[in-house]
Amino acid sequence: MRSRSSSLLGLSIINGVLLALLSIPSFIAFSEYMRNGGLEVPMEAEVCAYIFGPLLFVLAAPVILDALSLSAYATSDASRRALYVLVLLPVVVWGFMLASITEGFIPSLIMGMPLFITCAIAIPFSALVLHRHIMATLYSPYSAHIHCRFCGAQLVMAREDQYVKCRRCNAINANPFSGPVGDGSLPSPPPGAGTDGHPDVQG
Amino acid sequence: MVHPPQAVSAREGERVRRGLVRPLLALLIALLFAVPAAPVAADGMPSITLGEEEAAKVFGSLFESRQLARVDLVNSTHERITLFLSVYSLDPGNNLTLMVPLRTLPALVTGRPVKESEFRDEQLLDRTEAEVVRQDPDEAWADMRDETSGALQGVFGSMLFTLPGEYIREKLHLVSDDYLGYKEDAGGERWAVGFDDEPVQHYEFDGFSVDVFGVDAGPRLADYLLEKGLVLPSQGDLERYNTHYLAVVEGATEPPIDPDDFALLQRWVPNTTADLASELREDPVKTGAEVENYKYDLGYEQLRAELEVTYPQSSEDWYTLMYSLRSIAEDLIDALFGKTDFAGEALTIELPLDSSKLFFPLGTSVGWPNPVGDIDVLFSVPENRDLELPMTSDAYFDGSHWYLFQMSSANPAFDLESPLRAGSESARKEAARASFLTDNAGALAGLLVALIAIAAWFASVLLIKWRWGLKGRTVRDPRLWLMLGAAIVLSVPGAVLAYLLVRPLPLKELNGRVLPLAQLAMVAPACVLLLVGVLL
Repeated sequence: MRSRSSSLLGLSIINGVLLALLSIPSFIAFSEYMRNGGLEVPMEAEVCAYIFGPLLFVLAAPVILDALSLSAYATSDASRRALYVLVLLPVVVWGFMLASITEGFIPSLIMGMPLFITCAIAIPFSALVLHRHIMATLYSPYSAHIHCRFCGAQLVMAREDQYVKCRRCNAINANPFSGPVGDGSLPSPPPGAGTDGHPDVQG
Repeated sequence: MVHPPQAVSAREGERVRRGLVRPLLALLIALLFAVPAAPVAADGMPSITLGEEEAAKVFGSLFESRQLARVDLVNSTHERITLFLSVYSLDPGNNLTLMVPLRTLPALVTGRPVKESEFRDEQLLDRTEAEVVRQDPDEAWADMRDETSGALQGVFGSMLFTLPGEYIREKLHLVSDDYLGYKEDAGGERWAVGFDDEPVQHYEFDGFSVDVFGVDAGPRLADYLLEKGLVLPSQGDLERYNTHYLAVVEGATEPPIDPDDFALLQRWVPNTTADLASELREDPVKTGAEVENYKYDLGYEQLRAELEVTYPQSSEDWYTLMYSLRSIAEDLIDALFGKTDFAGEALTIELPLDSSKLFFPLGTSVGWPNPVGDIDVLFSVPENRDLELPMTSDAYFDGSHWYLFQMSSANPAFDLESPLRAGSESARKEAARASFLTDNAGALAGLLVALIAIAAWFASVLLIKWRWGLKGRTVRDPRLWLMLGAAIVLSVPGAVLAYLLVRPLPLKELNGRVLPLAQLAMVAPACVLLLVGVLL
């Protein structure tokens, strides 16, 4: 999780830098547009559009996939907001850019400066929020890492919690650290849990 | 462009409604001309014989820029023809005779100098052109289709690309050569007029005169031409006018720009000027981009090369002269190929009807050596009357039924002639329906697409509710309407993001939430409807 979260942060920063760079020719081209009234594009802006436009699609994809893979660990409101920004904001940018695909993204590039700047700030910031939340949750002294007794998935739980539900198979796993010292027995299952640890299914 | 109604039309319509209508007779333009073989004498009398080389040269440099006319049914016995006469020449300074053949002797002739734009405005040519389009059912449905296409793309494109993105997609396109527009400039055209001979009727006006010759009573048209030493360019096509009366306007050829400027051009770059005349004959219609390209070819290359030969380049003022000539050449090209507001003469002739038919001698156009730029002939009869005119479009307004005949870059060899018929009530109603549809196409298309968008959105909501077994209000839920609006402004992913920022639910809990799921379900219909909009 640590490496995935770190890679998400790194990719998001690259995305942010790319968008910030893209906002410079966008500003120049927009100024030209306001001055001339016609959609004539400086050569630099055209080059930027042809290079950075497709790159924006390519680099945003791993950010979205990484963020989705970390969705189970976004357990607070702030981290979930950050997660949704990371997943959906690049999609909004994609839509905005695709609007002018027949013109080589150039009109979108000219008019996209506010969106690019917003994304250049929001995407790395959201990745940082999510990364810090994950690090604080997974690697705090109050967290415990266990494996599901039934499917083997890695689970993270607060040390003071009695039970944790497996995110893969929904089985109830008891906290191995919460029982009396030297007892060796598992705590009694929570209400509604079956004898095998899985929830009873009615009907 | 729509122009205010003219009082004269209402008056005419009233006269006709009083039952004074009877088909009329007709008229007119036979624009013939004659040119002198030698330089024009001081008295201005032409002296030319058929087939002379010099005559052919001058004749070939003559152009009629516009042939605009309006034919009104004045009452049961008379019609009124109002003509705009505008002729220019790239070989100016020669005498020119314009003859308008008339089947009956005019009762009244008036005339005055006028600009083309003023003539079009006064005679309702532009307004009729707009009304013809507005009242055409096919055009109305085409408008409706275009508006619906635009609205579909606007709404569902916004759902996919965001509202600013869709605006960019529809409105902003990279600059191309076609972007270059026309440059408007005014070209001058005046007539120097003088008359002799013994006309049947003679009219004097401010700036020019009109003589009407009764050819039947005296020499025939052909004899008149022979006697006057005039040349007919296309004798065979004009023979049918030999027995007509003639309204004769005499003047002198002038260039379409300031004569002094034109003389400067002819003096220093005569070959370039001659090439311009050839180009006008070979390719009289050019787009804005073609005009700009031609300006470059002629003004920056050919003119410069010729001036290097005719004027010593070592002179200090060589560049000054070159820039001046280039500017004049560009003005001339604009005047010849662009949208210049030509000056001319408005000639109004009232005359008795012939055989109760409206008639316009359009076939005189073949008398011109080069294609006539724009031909607009407008007929006006009371709205309860119809005409049978080929190749015309009609419209109803101001209590009249209007027929507009239009051609460009042509020399039609046929006349426009029609008896008066009783009007068709169904045609009038159909025109009214079409004009309503044209006027309201935008609003109707907007309503239609709004209904489609709302139906698609709530269908997706109902689908999600049915799929997940959810209960609750649908149409009355303000959050659903709010999300529909958010989807149009921010796009579907933007609206979902806004929702999740307000309510940051865990991913798994979204399964039971109508608002985000319905948004996501809208993506497929939005794609389909956007595609429909593009294909329309």
